[in-house]
Amino acid sequence: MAVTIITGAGSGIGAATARELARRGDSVVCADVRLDTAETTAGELPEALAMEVDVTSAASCSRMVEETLRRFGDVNSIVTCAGVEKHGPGHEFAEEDFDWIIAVNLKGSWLSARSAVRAMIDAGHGGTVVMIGSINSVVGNPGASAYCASKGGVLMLGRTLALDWAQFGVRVNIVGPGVVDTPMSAKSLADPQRRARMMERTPLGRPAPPGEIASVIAFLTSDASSFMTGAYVPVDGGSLAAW
Amino acid sequence: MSGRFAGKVAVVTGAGRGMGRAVALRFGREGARVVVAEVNPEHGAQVAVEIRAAGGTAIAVTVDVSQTSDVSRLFAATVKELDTVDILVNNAGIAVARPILDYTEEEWERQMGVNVKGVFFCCQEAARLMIPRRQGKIVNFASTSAFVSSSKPEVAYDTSKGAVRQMTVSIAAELAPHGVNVNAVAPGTTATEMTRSTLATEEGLAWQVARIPMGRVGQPDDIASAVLFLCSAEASYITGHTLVADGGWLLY
Repeated sequence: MAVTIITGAGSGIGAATARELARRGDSVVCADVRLDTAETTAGELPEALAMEVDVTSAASCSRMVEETLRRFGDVNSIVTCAGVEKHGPGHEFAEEDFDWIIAVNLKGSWLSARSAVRAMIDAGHGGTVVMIGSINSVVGNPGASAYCASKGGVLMLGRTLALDWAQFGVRVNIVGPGVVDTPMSAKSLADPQRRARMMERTPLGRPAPPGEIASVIAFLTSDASSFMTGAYVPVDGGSLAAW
Repeated sequence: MSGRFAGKVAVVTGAGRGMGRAVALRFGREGARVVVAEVNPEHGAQVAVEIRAAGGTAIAVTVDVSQTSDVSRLFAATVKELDTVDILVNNAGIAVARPILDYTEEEWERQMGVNVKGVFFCCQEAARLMIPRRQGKIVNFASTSAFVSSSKPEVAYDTSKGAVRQMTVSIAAELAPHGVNVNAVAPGTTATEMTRSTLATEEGLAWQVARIPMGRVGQPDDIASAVLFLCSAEASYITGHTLVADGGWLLY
């Protein structure tokens, strides 16, 4: 059975992805910087391992893959959901906040994928990587310069890793969620004015529950997407079509 | 028949060969009632027979999608036989490949007639049935040629696929409030009758493969998987997108 590592599996899209992939029979590694949240997600699943992982640390990412191999003997896919966001106008934004967002969202996607793909190459059987971009990989959002920069970076990171790793049979694709009902967007969605503004730009007229992103990730980590690599797949209720 | 698309009515144009045939066969296997819409009556009938032989449900309708009267007849026949349309896959397409100086007006019209006008009027007929029911899935066939020029000169074909990509965006925005998802798929080089002459020689094939990061051309089933995904509940929050399935061709 396939073994899939999910970073940021403690909440939101990561948690929904862990549940969706466990449902289809994957052995799931739930990695999160907060062990308690990873354990909550893993606790509901039949064949899951919870792990405390800091994706900004190469050593932590290596340990994540070593423990995965020890427990499940293999790794077939990694989904890099770990991500953070903080709002603030560009001229006031603090340097440490900028560094933190880039470290988790961009460098963390690379470090965690790198560790997993090294194991796939060693095993000689290929695999899949799914990175979480955003509609903000391709359009801007006022007051979110660091976040948008990190997600724009994830898009190009994923595309280029797709080129580096195609020769090993490793496919890399990027999903681009629009407005999703997660802890990260809870504050914006709770504010009626901000919610209305977000829905104005969402033709389907509703935020996505995280499961609707997880189902696309399930497709991208399956053979059904066999000829796709380096692709950006928006899951945004039509926002980009209407932009 | 059970499956992801149990009972759904799926109209697939150009379903007699290549990627359209692969899409129709897969729909049949996954429980859909399939309308094999095809300009060549023998090819269409053959695919419908294959679907039924595998335990599925299918009818064949002979249609030239560039003729609006044919398109109307296709949807009328579908409603008469199968009551409605849940899914439309606009796969029918031709490639009129010429250097720019050689195109005639008639060739240009023929290219646009099938690939652009045909897609539009099929979408219109489907929308008529889907809007009142507040549900439906449409997938159009674009191409990597909607993003970059083809590897041989065929400006009319490339233009038609660029038009399909934008048509998908605009129809998606218009139909989203009605609960209808509209997307496109952009295959890269895929082994079909259309590309047979290009891929027939060893040099031709090697040249193509050398440019594809995954190191192989696509098979019709690779593309059919992507189309069925876009028509499935898994893709319910995706609309207006052109899903690229090209083995990485567009990446550099």
